[in-house]
Amino acid sequence: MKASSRWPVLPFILLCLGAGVRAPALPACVFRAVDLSPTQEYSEYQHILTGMLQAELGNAGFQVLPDSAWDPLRERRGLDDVDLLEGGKALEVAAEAGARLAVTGFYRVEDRQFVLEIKCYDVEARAFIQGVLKTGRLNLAMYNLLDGAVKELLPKVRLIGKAPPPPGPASAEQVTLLSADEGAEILLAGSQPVGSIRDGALLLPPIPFPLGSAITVEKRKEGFHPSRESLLLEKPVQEFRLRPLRPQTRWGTELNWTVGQVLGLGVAQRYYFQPDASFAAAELYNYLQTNFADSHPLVHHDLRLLYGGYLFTGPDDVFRLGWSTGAGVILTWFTIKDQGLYADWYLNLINASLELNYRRWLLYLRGEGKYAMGLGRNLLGQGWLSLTRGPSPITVGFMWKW
Amino acid sequence: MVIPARKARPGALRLLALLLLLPALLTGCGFFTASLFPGYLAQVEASFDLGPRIDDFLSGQDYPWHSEVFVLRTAAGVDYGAVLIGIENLPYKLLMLVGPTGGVQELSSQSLGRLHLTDASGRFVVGNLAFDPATLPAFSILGITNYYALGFSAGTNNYLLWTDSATSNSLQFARYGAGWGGATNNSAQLDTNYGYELRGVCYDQGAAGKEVILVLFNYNYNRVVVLFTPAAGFDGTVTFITPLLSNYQHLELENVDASNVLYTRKGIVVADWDGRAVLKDFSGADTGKGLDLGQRQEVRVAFDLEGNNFFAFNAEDRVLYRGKTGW
Repeated sequence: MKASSRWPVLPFILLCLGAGVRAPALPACVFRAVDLSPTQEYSEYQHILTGMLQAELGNAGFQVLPDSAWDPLRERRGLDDVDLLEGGKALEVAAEAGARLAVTGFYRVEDRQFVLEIKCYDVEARAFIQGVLKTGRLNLAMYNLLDGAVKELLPKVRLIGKAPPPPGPASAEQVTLLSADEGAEILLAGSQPVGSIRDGALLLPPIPFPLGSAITVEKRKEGFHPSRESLLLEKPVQEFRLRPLRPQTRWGTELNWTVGQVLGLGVAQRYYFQPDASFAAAELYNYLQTNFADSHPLVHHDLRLLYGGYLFTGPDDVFRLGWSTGAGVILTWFTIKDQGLYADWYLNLINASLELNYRRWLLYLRGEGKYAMGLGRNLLGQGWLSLTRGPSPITVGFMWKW
Repeated sequence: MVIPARKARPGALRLLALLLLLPALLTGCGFFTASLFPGYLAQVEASFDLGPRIDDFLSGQDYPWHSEVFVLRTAAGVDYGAVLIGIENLPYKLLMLVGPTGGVQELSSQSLGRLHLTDASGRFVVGNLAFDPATLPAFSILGITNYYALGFSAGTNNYLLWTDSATSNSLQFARYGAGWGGATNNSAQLDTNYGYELRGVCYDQGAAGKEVILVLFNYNYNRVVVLFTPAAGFDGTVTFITPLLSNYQHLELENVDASNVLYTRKGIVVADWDGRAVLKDFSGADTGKGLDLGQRQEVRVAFDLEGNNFFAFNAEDRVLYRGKTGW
């Protein structure tokens, strides 16, 4: 048995249900388009344009009132069609006709140039909604022009009679940035300058950032590294204390201490080719080697030159990953007679460091990969250097940046 | 508005402490003595550059050569450090001696060999040669034909000991008079199950009842056995109870360099594969003492009987170092 014969009234029920849930069509008054051309030869466009407007509004869900619903009211007021181009008069007629929407329009053709204007009014609110003005050549493309003008109106026209949108989320009303970096320029999203720190603070301009959102603030100041911070807006009125900017530094003076060379101390001087980025360093580490009991200590001087830089991390980061490479020599003296000087030349092929980075100083832990070259009068021979008890050399260091 | 400088956060301070502590954790108890340089260098009292002598011996040829280091003690108790150089597949050998005065004496001969001891006449014996270090280069040839034997002297007798193969379960030994005449041969079963090669012999008159210390190597299990035997068993005044390994004190060592297991009165010095000579007590326990020899250079080491002094020969820079162990 076919479904249609079993449920012969189903299409009707669905139609009724559909009609039941659908909002009632709002009446619309589409006044005739007025021909303002200097001649009568283009009057046929009046019907075309008016018809298109009526059809599109009908498709958009409006109930287009017939001319008979409003034309007598116009005549009774002694108004011509052209008078309805005034919004106030059009609203009066439309209101009396019971319409919620009023549409007026005119066109003018002169020297085959076409000008078209359409306006829409919310009758109940007595408010102008939207208008379009189009110009073009009088040819077949003109129909596209008409069509485009009508469609441009529809999105706003459809909002008539709809409930107003719910209020948006609450916004930050007053955001104040506090900073010790006097004069620092503040940019939003990395590009939009919004002012400078004056007297330790900057009140951001009233941009309605919704609460719960985060804004990215960038600080810039001559002689300092730019810094970005993400600030979470939680209250309408809020203050943020920004991190201090880190000064750009060119020099670093180090003290360091290496496992396997614990009875000694190293000093180093860095020069940054770019502030706090790539650098060259000269290091000297002096230390004693002794086993204490019956020992005649050795005296070692480890000199080296390094070139290095950083990976993945910038000068503003608390933790930085660094690398360096270079070459050096360890000079060794025995503290017994007639031994002379030994020199172990080596390539410091790679050092990897983890730095705990503050504004003016840093601490680092550095693993060192040294390869002894076995040249000349040496003690270490050729090969990778490692401790006799333990791993490859590890250095901890402190550096003052200036 | 003045914003105060940030104080160091507790997390950062903890990290700082960890940074300082980490190296100590990594190096453990060797924190103060760990070094890139071999630790024995800091014990050195004197060094002797043997390079020119070795070059002369090699005659400028690029022969592969090997070295042995041992200590010979005169009857008066004076120790000499000895370096024996041999050329691969050639009979020539070079012996260099460093005495207490620091001078280097040398002897080159085809009769030099693995055997080294101070014989019952007070002469140094190396291979088939006997000599007095005070009268070098004079020497005499002994006529010993067993080139694989090791030996010692006790009282008026000299002894040679050997195993017939690398997997022998029998120790062979011969007793000679002070002049190396009239050999009396004998043997003793080492073990019922496993075979051994004799790698070292040491005589310590002060070790009552276990004066003769043998270093045996078992190939199958890569195991070194240090066996303490009475000297009386070798001169025939008592009869060995066999098998020796079941009846006399011994110490088993694994994963050690069998050619560098040495007896001292302070314990057994064992060279491991990590460049360390570790001093173990006679029960085999690590004493925590030793010498760092370094990992990348071939260093041969020998100790005096008391374990107070060492000689270390670095085959790469051809320098013999003499120093105190500090044990």
